[in-house]
Amino acid sequence: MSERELPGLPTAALKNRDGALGARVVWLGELASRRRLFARGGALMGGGMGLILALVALPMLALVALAFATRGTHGEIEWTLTLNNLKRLFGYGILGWSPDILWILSRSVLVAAVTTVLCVAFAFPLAFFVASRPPARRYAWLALIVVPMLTNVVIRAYAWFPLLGMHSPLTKLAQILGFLAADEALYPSALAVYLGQTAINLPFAVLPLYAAVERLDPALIDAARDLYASRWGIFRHAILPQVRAALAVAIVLTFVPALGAFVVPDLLGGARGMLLGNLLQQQFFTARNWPYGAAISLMLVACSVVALWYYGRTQAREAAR
Amino acid sequence: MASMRTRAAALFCFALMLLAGCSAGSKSMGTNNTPQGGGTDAAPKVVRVFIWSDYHSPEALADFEKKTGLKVEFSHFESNEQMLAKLQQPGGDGLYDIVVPSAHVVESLVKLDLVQPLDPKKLANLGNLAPKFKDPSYDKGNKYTVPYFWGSTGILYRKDKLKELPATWATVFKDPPGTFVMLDEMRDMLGAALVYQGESVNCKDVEKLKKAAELVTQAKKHPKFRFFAGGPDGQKKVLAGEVDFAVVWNGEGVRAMSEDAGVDFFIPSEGSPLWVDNLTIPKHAPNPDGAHKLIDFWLDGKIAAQQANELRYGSPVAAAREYLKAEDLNNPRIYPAEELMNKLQFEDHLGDDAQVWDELWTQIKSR
Repeated sequence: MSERELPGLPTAALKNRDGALGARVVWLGELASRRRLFARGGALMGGGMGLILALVALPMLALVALAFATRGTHGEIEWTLTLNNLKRLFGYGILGWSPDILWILSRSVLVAAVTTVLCVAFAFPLAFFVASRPPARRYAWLALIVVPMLTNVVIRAYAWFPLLGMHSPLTKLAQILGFLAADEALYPSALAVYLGQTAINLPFAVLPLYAAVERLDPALIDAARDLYASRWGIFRHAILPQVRAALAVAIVLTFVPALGAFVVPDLLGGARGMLLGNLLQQQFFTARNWPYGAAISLMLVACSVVALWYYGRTQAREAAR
Repeated sequence: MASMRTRAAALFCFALMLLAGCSAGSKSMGTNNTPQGGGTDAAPKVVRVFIWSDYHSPEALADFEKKTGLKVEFSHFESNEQMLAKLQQPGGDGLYDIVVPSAHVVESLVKLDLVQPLDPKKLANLGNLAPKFKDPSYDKGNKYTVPYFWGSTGILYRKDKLKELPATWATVFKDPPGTFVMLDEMRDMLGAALVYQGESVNCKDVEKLKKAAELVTQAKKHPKFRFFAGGPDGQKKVLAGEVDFAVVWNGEGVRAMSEDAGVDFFIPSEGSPLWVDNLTIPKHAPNPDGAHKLIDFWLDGKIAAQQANELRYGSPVAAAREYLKAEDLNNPRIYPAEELMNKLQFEDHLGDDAQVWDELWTQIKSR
């Protein structure tokens, strides 16, 4: 780190003759030596870094190591190193090549993507609605959006059963209109999965969007309108650039958990189309194949990293503006 | 601008916390399973049992506690795998005095050195077992386990809608007469498809297994197929009239029949997988003496009958027959006639072939 990086400080004048690290600097109005600043910074960051190391880095390393291990006959972990678990991720399974894992992966990405699009699409109007309420009532509205999250996901999935089941008015209506045969119901179906997934992930899209929408500069919208911008034009040129960072947060916060979802797709989709989350659960529980489970986890982590990379890129672009 | 950043960051953190909270809340396992209670020398002496929920008769147990002065504490698990994981953790084989594994995980428990051999001298009622359950294939000579209850898999259907159905697995695999649900259990569904083809439920031949998986996949793709249901869900859907039939365990089927006269249950004539839950003692059980006493108590004819009359599962204790309710004893859905009984096959440990089964099950679920 060169001294020029310290913002706007007259460091040159205070510099000692012996070496850069012992040099005196003014840091936020405080006269200190660089050495002391580093020591203090290190002490303050140590706890957090230690936590990250213990709770994120080490388990991740264990996961990487585990992905190369072998499942013993009785589900125990044997440290015979193998690439088989990783090969299985590309479809080269025990029974030869089969595309199932690729189907599972693409299905998971599709479900997560559709969920994200739906969540964002519903979250925008909600965010504008809440932001347009009188300030005193905004938090009550936000609370209404967040409160359902206090209930367990499984229970919220079960709550859809009577609404979409065989005997529900909605199903009867769909049957009368000819969308469903007489012995079909709205659940289990892809529709039910997306409804459930959207309902569960919606708050994660609303909260960041609301934070941005609340701080929108209305003058820009007025200006766009004065210049005869169409409704889409206003959104595209006056609103979107102001909320882009929040939109990225909303997308990441819905997409990443949606990618690992397994409870809702199982319950509302009837456990018919397997997702990565289901496969993962099956390996750790039923199949008791932790090494393969670890390999699948790595794949999920990789997908999440891609999403976070996208987030980082938008943030960087935003900062560059 | 800075305040907006911090604000957005605060909301972001808030959302993350909620996210962490709700993902931790979903599908938690193993909570409240740790036994309370003090050490082994605490008076009164306790016997700690790790068992499926609602799986014993509390009235019978009161007798045991009165007679022996021992106190029995129960912890529950929901799947064999969960139970295994608990025993495998460091010190896990010293937490309980009795665990209740299904037959196909018994061999794993033995090989992983998590259980201790039973002492036949302390089990006076061992002779009470029915011949089919003495010396089972998964535990020769009942060295480590004695059977507790057993059951099978069959089809529960709405008699009022489908009329009488012939007792065959073709109902699922060939010509479904109505909308249906399959069990979300690899062993049961692949096992049923294997039995339907005249193969063993413990088949290790890859080609035959592939054929069985193909059968299940075809059934899954049938327009009348609705979904895979875990445990008791299939029974509930049939009772609610949402589907016409479901693959369920016989206990669920029998109980559904006593709730609703419009449903019927059968075990297919081709045979079926047969599951047995067993009593066994963990390697470092704190109170193996008390464990033997409770196991022997449950093997008593009268007590076994009392439990069976309540739970309505099949009892492997032959001496219980004379005390069983006549309606249950003569119910072929609980105690099938000898011809069918001979076609029910013990589910064994799959060993390394478990991975082949798992791969096929993944294919079924993903196609």
